[in-house]
Amino acid sequence: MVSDEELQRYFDGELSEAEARSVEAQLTDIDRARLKALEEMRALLNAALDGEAAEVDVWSGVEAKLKEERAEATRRWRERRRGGRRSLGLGLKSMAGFAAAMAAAFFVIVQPWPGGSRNDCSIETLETEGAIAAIFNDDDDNAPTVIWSEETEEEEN
Amino acid sequence: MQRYQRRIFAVALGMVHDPDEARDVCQEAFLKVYRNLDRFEGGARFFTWLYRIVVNVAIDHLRKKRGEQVAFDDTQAQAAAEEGGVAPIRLGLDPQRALADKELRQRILKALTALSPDHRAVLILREVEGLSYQEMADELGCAIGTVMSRLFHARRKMQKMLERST
Repeated sequence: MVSDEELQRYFDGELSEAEARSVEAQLTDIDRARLKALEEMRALLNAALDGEAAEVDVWSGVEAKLKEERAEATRRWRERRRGGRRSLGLGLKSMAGFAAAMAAAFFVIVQPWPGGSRNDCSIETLETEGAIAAIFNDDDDNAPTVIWSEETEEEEN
Repeated sequence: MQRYQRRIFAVALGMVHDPDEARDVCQEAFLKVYRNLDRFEGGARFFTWLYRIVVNVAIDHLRKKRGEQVAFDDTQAQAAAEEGGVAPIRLGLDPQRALADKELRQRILKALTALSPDHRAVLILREVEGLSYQEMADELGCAIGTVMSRLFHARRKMQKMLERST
């Protein structure tokens, strides 16, 4: 009969291969029955927890909390803006204005007409609460050009 | 993240026992994950990262409870602490039945509740999540010897309590 500690380590796979073989060689019928009892307990515990987990909805609470946080962030942003925070306030009536600004910048930087410079640049956009940024990066390691467009009060109404 | 919900809830429930508290632990963990997604290093498995956050939140929760001196009911567990290891007796309970039978699940969870938070934590980390002794020692901030001792006593007490309830 192996010791309690050895049996536990054997059951948990914490013995080296040589140690495990040595324990296996010493296992008595009682030890094997104890291993079966341990396996049964493990299976029961997993089944019980899995069964309980299947009946609980965790995600809807997370979604509600995230929605609440987003609403709070929007409220704070609006308060800041109404408080006279300096902003670029481009006052674009619609996304068409923003697209036009991007297109103009694209033509200035890329110059896709015959004979012009063919310097390429990548354009990324970043959307935040109430504003959109267009980031232009050229191939010449220059500082990126960023154009911000913010929503205006009229647009919300 | 929804696909991890059941697995994560099982871990949290096993550690804090109370279903409402387990749901709170999961929700706090999911929110932490959501807010810190940019810190996730793609090399690590996402579940491993999520799992570590859940375990840490659950451990903090247990520590807070202990700090508030919300004593756990260890009476039954103490009574079950007799000499000798796990008995060579199977309980004859069917795990498939435990999955569907709420009453049987409650009996198993009641036995789990009666364990101390330390014993419950090692039992869940080992039996449900399959952590090694070293990983458990790292998670719980204790020595491997302590992990082994807690696991040994947790299993023995659990078996005794389940025996009594059958």
